[in-house]
Amino acid sequence: MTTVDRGLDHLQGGHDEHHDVPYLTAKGGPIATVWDWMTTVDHKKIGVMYLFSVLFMFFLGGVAALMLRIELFEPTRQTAAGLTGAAFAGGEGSSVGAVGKFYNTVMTMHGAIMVFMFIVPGIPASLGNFFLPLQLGAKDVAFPRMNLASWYIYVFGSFFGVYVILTGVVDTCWTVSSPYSTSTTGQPQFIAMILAVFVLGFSSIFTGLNFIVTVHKLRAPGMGWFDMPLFIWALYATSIIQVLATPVIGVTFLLLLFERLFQIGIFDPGLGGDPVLFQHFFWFYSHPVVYVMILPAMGIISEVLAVHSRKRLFGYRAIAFSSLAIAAVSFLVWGHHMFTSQGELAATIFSALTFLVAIPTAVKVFNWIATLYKGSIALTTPMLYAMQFLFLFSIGGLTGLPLGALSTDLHLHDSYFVVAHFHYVMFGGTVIAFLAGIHHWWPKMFGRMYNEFWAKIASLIVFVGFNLTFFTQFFLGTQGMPRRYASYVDDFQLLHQISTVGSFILAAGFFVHLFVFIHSLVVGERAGQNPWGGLTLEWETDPVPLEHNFRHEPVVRHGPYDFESVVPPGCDEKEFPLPPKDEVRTIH
Amino acid sequence: MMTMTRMPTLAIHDFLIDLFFRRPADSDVGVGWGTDGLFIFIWWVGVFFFVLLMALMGWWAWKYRRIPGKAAEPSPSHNTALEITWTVIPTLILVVIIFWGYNGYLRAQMPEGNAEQIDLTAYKWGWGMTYDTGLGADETVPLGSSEVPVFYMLLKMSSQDVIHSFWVPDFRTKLDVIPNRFTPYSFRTLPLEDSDNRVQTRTVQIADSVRENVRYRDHWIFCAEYCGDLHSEMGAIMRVVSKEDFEWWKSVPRYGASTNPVEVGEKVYIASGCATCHSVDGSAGTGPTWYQVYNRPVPFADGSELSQAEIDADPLAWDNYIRESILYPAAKIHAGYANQMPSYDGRLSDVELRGLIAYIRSLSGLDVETENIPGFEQLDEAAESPQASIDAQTNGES
Amino acid sequence: MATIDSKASGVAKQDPLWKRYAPGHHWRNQDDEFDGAKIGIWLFLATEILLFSGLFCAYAVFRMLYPESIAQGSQYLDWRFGFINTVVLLISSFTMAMAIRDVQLNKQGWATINLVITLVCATGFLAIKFAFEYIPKWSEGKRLGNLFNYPYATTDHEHVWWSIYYMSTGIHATHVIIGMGLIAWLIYRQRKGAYGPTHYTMMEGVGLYWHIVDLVWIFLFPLLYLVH
Repeated sequence: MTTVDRGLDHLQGGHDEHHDVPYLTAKGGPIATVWDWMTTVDHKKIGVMYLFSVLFMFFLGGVAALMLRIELFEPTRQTAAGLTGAAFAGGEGSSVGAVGKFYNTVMTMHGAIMVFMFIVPGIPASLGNFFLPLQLGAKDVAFPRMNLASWYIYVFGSFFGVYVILTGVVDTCWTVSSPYSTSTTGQPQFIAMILAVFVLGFSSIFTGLNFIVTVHKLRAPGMGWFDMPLFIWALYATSIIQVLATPVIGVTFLLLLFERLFQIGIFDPGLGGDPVLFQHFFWFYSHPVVYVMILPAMGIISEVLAVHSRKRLFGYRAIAFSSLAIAAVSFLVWGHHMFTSQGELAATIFSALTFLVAIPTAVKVFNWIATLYKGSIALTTPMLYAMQFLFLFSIGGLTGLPLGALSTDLHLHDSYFVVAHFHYVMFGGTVIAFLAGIHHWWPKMFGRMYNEFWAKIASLIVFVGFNLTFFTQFFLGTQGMPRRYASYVDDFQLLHQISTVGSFILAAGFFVHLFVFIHSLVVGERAGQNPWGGLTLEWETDPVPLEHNFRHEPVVRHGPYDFESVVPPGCDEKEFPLPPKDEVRTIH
Repeated sequence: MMTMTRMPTLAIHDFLIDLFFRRPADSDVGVGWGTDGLFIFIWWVGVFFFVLLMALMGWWAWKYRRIPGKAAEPSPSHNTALEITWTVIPTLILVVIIFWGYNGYLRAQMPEGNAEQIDLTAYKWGWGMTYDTGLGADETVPLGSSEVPVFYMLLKMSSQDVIHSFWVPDFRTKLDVIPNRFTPYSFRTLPLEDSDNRVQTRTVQIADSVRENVRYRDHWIFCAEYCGDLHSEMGAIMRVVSKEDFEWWKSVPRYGASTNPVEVGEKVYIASGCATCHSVDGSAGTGPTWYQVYNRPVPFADGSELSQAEIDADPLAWDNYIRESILYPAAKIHAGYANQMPSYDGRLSDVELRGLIAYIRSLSGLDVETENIPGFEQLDEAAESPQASIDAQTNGES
Repeated sequence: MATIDSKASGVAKQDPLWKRYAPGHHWRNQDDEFDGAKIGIWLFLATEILLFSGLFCAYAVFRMLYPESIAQGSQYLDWRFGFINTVVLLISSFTMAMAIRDVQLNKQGWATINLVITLVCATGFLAIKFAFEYIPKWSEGKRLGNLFNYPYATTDHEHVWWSIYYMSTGIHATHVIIGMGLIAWLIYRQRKGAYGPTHYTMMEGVGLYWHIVDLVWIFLFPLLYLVH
């Protein structure tokens, strides 16, 4: 296999448009390099910065989760009492209350960090920013400066938010339900957290806006809508949701802010307001946002499955249209978070619509599995993670059925069953797909391979740890364990203990990944241009893409998954052979 | 319709119900073809599709594993008939689930016939019930219920502060309890059967009355909507007894002929939820302890205090402070504690209030005479208007 | 962003900025950049519409819950000021559109005049709002939320009405102020010759924003002032 080895130490003094260098090239001394990264409008650098930040946020949220699981090892509150110290005291002499506030504060931190600072920006801001223009054959996104602004807004909002939660006593949970949130103590911190989320919303809107315009106007010549990779379709659908749904959480939090500051009486029943109205406003955004979380993940799975099984995706158009359908229907189902607090007619309508959104999702899973048929499947780390996704996301999706059905939801609402369900889809779905995407595109982003063996070991540890942690929680939920509890009745202890052990195994798996990544960046073997044999445009760039991405403007002459008729660029034909000509039938 | 008939009994179903729920549902909505049945149905649908998909995935991942130098075989990239089939069939299954769930939901929401109505109040962090006789709660766990095959129960629920949620896992239903609004939670429990090994028997004594062989079954009640610090501790027990036993329990006079205020106070301490936040042995809690505090100075959060001089000057000063704090807790906040005690205005009778004060006094080792307690009669006249003290407090705080 | 590209044919250093404009290097041509910018602006305006819909939704909910308070509260508003403000904003929208037309026809002088009139109208809108509406009402005690202390209130929930009024018109006024900043920036750039027949993207964008701000007021005015 021929490779184009440009290397990372190809130093040039300055550059102009005619002499392009790999985007990771240092610009001079350390200060000049830092300044270059801080002022860059290059989507690749911004994507890398986002990648490191969201993974750091994942780490913070994960530490919070481990603290919760330690507390839940014992049925009573004693564990945290020993750890809490005076930092989270709720009142002199009130040790029980202090522990209560401590647990609830850490729980709020876990939710808020994971949702707003990790998973919503997550894939779109990191892998999306890096690869959307590359896959479209563009030199950058439509509004590069807006991209940098979105990054800075994210940093500002996140820093602010984490600082507030760490130093304050915000214990409202990430859903900030009224009237608890309008009457709990800690006014300055609460207001600051509201503002942090409001600010983060703009980061999300800017990213979405950028992507939509890029997809419309910056595709390479020859790339029609149905020649786009499915990752792009997924990001496009995601961006539509981001642009339309985020303003609603903005105005919701603005109203909540005024409620706290001036008691305007909109959500607080003591002032004549309606607490269920808050829930409607809140979930009108927060339900579509879960599709912001999962759609890009599904896009990654489409890519990874196609490339690592060397197979055209089954039902390309079905997958593309189902992404749009999911985005559209996602705006209609928010009430299924409120079956126990809203009226009967509303509940019935929302239940029916919730099942409607399940259908395109199921169709996607069927299409992915069908893609494997008669493929040439390499069990690389990305492929292993893609298969894990199919396993875990199926469980997550199927456990959504009893939650969408009204009578079973009356039992399961606000129980550990819900906690298990959403961790299976958000963690077992999005995070696993994120890991698949990182491993799939790692050689392209950094020009280095990682240690396959240890990466696979890590993925196995993650899989085992994840299932131990969260599978038991389904049973906790059906048996009656409510969520957001720091202590519980003795009956539930064994399942909780298994879950806690699992969470530490899970954490260990991530640490192995961390070491693999660091090792790769420092001494990893240099990657070729196209180690997996992909056919989408990002694999036509140099092993580490140049600053302006392509050497010549790409012209699209084949579909993104035409493995049966095209040798992947930069690859040896022996390694990625085509089927013999006489076996290639005309297939649509 | 689908009331208490059992599903086709397979050993696997009993096993699954034990696995998921520990025991079959104890309400008519949950049992049989109701919630438990729907859950089992969804379980089988899920297992079917999951096993099918994962088996295909695993089999094809192995069968079509990459062999170096060998290309993938060509195969179709879509198949209209197949795609339509796998869209239509799941849709039909989902429609079945929607209607089944809707049916169970309606039955849970609609109280039937002659349901006995009980008022339930949720507050941070406990539950309070008031029966149609005006009786409040009793016993070391503050709830009781009634049951009989043709007897129904309707709870009219309201919250004093934030949203809570009333969940009895064994009944398979819950409903949010919202402030400024009544929400109805109704259920019909199943009979107490001898074959049920959770049914126990005990002798109940209330004041001077004793009743033997009271059969009962206990169910957990949990708060299922996050409500703050002690959300996890906001549990209770639903005790199911027969109708005759329930009628007896409701009608027995609580405080007997010879009323001992300290005993009254101790009962109220437990039944009204004071025990959730106030200890009687000096240990710390969400609220100040009651041990050894009677007639001692009290520091307030705004810097003022109930001083020893004031207590010495007025023998009723401390009693009036306690009475005010029970009825209007926001008026004076004890220093070092948060303003989060719910008000008992309208929920305690004068007998109970006096009992509480006597009980607190007894915890300071002071004598409390059982009759003719000096000063008790004068309590009402001498008490300063609570509203005036609240105004003073609010204007002082600004 | 404008770059001075002296190698491109047909332009010389002393040409106005708009003639020397070259699109960002990631765009294929200037038309694509213009179209892209327009799509971007429309998407942003969609977010603005959704933001205000939340406020309209709150109005609807509280109209349903407390009809007397809403009806009584809206009696306190003088529809004449609202009407004048509506006319003022409509004029400003018209002059904004005219300014864009002028730039398309390279009538730079008229463009400046129209932009300045737009800015003056915006200022006038705010002046009328503050001088004749906000300040008198605030000093009478007709305020939002817990600051409300109008002694002659006849309905229970009048503070809710005032909260809705101040929040809706206040958030709208904030957008007017932002718009004024953008228009001032346009005037500054236009005087330097940045906009002309082949390049007026920024003006188009700000113009669209300004029309939406006007449109929101067209809905707010009848809802708050006229519907009793």
